[in-house]
Amino acid sequence: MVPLEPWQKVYIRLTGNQTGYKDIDPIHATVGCSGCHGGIDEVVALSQSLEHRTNAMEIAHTDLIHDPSENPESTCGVCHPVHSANSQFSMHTSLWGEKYKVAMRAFGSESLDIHPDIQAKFSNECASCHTTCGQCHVSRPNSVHGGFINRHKFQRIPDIKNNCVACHGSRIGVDFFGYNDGEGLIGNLPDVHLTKGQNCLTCHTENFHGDGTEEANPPLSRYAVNGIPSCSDFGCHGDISSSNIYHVNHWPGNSNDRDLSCFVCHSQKYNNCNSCHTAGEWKENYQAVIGESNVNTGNGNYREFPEFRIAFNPAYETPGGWSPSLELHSNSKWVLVRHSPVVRDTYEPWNSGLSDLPNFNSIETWEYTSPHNIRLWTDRTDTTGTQNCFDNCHTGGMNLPGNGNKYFLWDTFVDSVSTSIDPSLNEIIVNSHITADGHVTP
Amino acid sequence: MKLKNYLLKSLFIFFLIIIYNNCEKIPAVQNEKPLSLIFTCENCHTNELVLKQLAKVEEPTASGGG
Repeated sequence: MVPLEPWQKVYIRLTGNQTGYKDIDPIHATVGCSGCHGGIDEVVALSQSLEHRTNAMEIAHTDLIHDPSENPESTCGVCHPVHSANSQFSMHTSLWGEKYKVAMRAFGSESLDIHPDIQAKFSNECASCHTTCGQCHVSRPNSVHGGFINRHKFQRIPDIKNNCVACHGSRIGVDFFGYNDGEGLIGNLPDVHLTKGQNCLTCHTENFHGDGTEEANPPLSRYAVNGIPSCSDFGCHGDISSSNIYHVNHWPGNSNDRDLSCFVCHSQKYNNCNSCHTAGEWKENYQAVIGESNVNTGNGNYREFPEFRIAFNPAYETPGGWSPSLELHSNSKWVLVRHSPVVRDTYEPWNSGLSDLPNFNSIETWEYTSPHNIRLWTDRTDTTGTQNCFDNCHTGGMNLPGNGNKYFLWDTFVDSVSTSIDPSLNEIIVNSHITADGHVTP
Repeated sequence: MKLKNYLLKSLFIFFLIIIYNNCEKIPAVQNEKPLSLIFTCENCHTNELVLKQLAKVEEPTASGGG
């Protein structure tokens, strides 16, 4: 997403007969600018010269609070106490899943609290875009350098492109919008839910502000957030477990050892990342990643690459499974996995003794995923021109995953990806419990 | 016939007025507002010209992030 020009970010455009901000958002205007942002309400410049006006501006901005909602209790919370109190512990603000994984890979612990230095660096960098009231309801988030969405009018419902996808862009955004004008994965179509006029909030009805339970029971994964959507919510996709032969044979929970998650058949290829590194005080000095690659070519040190890989679900019939955070989806033996951008020296720039994550092997690097690029017809389900219904997936015979080399996560494939990044990485160890080698015969 | 023409013209003007009232008005030409020596938040932040001049000096208000 292209950042706005500096002046655009803070411009409140008046239209028609509007004379001030009170005509745009009369409720919030009663608080007054300095009521939230501090600074000095009125300053007189000595003359019209640029120098004097610049001085006046700097005086007006004395002790300016750019984002008052960083301390919501004294700002938003005055009128919105419940949302404000709960949101401090919500997934969006606390970033529980990321924090859990950093803690596990660094210390083998579920909490970063045992290491205040790492906790502080996590807060300064990783948590800098996760998030404040204002970054969803007023401005674009920090990750795209801010800027008013609609003239500082508070939006009850965040904007999909300017808010949701501004943060969830490299994977969810790339998935959801398909290939368009050089953006996205070549060959991918937009998610069918988008083409039907739906958006993020159509399905994601969970309480983004948190429901008040997170402080006591932090969700250690996005998949553990209360109210996370499923395909059958709202009756959208009810009981279709026997609506066709593929569903009969592969519906999750059929306990026939062939249970597939919906995504295995109905997702398109998706973006994967590798070798991301922290950059220190990201919050203040965010820049494009040097060597960042094009997703369709996958070159460069920091790599993005399209893939589609089926792996054994570590939570299959054992909620929690290998990953304690993975509590749900235990009825699908086979799920899709996406490479997480982590490598052993991801946090080395923090200079905190994490140059080689001691517990790197505690969580797989190919992680459970739910690509947001659903289509009815995909490379698996579209049998047009094939001899029979098995040609796409069972070319080696009915009981063998003949297209295994194409779709399954084999040890050899894991090794080829990790070796291409760093020959010493050896990601087979950390992923061997989910690769197809131990669960099917090639 | 004459009455019919008047009626048609009246209807036409009536709809023009309705359309005009429902259209977003042309933005006020902030650039041409006289520059004031008094700096209030709204004086500057609703004035495109002033922001363009001063934003070159002032860094973006939003900090960076991931």
